[in-house]
Amino acid sequence: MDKGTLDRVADIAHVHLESREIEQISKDMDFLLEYFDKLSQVDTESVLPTVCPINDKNVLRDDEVWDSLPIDEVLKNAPDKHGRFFRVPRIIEE
Amino acid sequence: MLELDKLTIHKAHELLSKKEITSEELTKALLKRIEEMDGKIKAYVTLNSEEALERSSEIDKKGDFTEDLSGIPVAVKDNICTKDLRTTCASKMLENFVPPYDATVIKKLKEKNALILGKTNLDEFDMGSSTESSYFFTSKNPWNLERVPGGSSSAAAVAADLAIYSLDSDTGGAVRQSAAYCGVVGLKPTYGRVSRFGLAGNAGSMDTIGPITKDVKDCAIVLNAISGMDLFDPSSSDTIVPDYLESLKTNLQNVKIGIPKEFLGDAVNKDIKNAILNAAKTFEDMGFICEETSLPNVEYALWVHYVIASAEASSEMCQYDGVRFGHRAQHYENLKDLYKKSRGEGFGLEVKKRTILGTYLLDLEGNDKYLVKAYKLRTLIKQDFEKAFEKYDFLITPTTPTVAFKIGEAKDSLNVNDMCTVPVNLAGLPAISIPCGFAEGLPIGLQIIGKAFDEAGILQVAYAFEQNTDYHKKQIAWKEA
Repeated sequence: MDKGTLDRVADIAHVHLESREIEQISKDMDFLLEYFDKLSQVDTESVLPTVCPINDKNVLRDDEVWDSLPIDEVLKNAPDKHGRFFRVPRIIEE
Repeated sequence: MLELDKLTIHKAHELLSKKEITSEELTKALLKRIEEMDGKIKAYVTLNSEEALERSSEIDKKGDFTEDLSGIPVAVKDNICTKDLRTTCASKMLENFVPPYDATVIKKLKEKNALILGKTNLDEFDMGSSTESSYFFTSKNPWNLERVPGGSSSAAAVAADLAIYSLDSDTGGAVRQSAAYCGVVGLKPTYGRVSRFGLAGNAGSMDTIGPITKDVKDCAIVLNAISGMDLFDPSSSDTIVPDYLESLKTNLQNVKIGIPKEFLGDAVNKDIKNAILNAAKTFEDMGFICEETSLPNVEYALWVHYVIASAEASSEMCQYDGVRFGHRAQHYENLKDLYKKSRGEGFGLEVKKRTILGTYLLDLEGNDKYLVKAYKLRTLIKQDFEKAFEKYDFLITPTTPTVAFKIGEAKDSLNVNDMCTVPVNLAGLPAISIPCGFAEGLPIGLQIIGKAFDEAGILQVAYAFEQNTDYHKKQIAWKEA
């Protein structure tokens, strides 16, 4: 995988990479994609894909109100919070 | 003298019921064993000593041991959420994460008065087969400390008597492979048999939770406790759950077993091949019919599994964003940079690689060419199994093509060690690994694969094998590596 593609995909995946990681991952991707290419020759023209192996049906439940987790307990794991909220950097420019 | 740490669930239950031992004595014996041995094995990431002792004495006071698991300590893989007990997925990302809720399987075990003894190690976010990508440390195989224990240390904990049993997860074979490498019993249930709610998932269409135990009877006991439909997991099945322990009493007749030739080829070690053929001979002596069969499309399984697992993992990994829980970078420029840096710092190399590969596969460029192709090949693999099960009740294969490999010798990403286990995850079927021999002083695992939701059947066949062999009784000869 060339560096341009890797940079683009890492950006979509929201993963920051150090330069030594870019080199390693790019090498591993080349190996994997080359391998994948060989097998993409297999004829599957008339085959339907299987996404879920078992029990592939829609599950519905009644529209009932359930208790959610207590907010103060959930917020204990938050890296930054403000009152009852998670806090993130400003996303709208002033 | 009775060594409490060596007890099976059913034996411990019998002694607890007769008041010959107490739950507190049992828990203390295991904690002592952990103190003496876990420095070598490194099975536990977090111990729950205080809480386990407290609970054990409460259970003793009540004195109600009607439930099979009551007062008996269990080790839990550290990607299964335990309320108020740190759950790390062996990642820096979740180094300090304390879940505010229990996974459904944990809730079910607690309802049976089981005691959570601690959390066991794994490859970071379960991506690997050796625990070497754990953020904390590499766990060791108790049979030989230079060897890997498999993709989690749950089996090592059970084999080394650091737990009576454990709960583990299996996406590409972790339950069965680590059970095989460590000489214990591991069962991967049918997809949907056991709720995945509270499992920090890796590949949503293949993840399952299953027990690792010292014998088949214990495996049936734990499966009884954790199976069933769960409203919190829409992929869980409402198929009737039989009494697995009771089903072991069934007398098996006219059993037909298929042996797929693809799992006895050149990639499989000679000693392992012989052990599987010997196992077939044991089954024949019991009156079962064993015949060679074929699953022609399993040759694509490693590739198909890696593609699907990466795509699904990249989507599972989205929840780790440094906002609601988990690691957050200290320095960042804006919200997007916060995501990128937090994930960049919080994830190890393998997790980053699979996340990026998975994103590429879900993106337009990789989607049609690779991902859709993989899902189509998955259909062919599933159909191979369906066809084989028209003729046979069960299939047997090695669990792994070699015995536990040396630490540091893990192969490339497409790990050939998973070749016998991943096809079963792709098809969603149940399979069990039981000890069936030894090579180089290390245990060999026999994999028995069943039809969807026939956990009772594979347990019966495994139990029959166990009754006619004594591989599961062999003790570890402890020596320094």
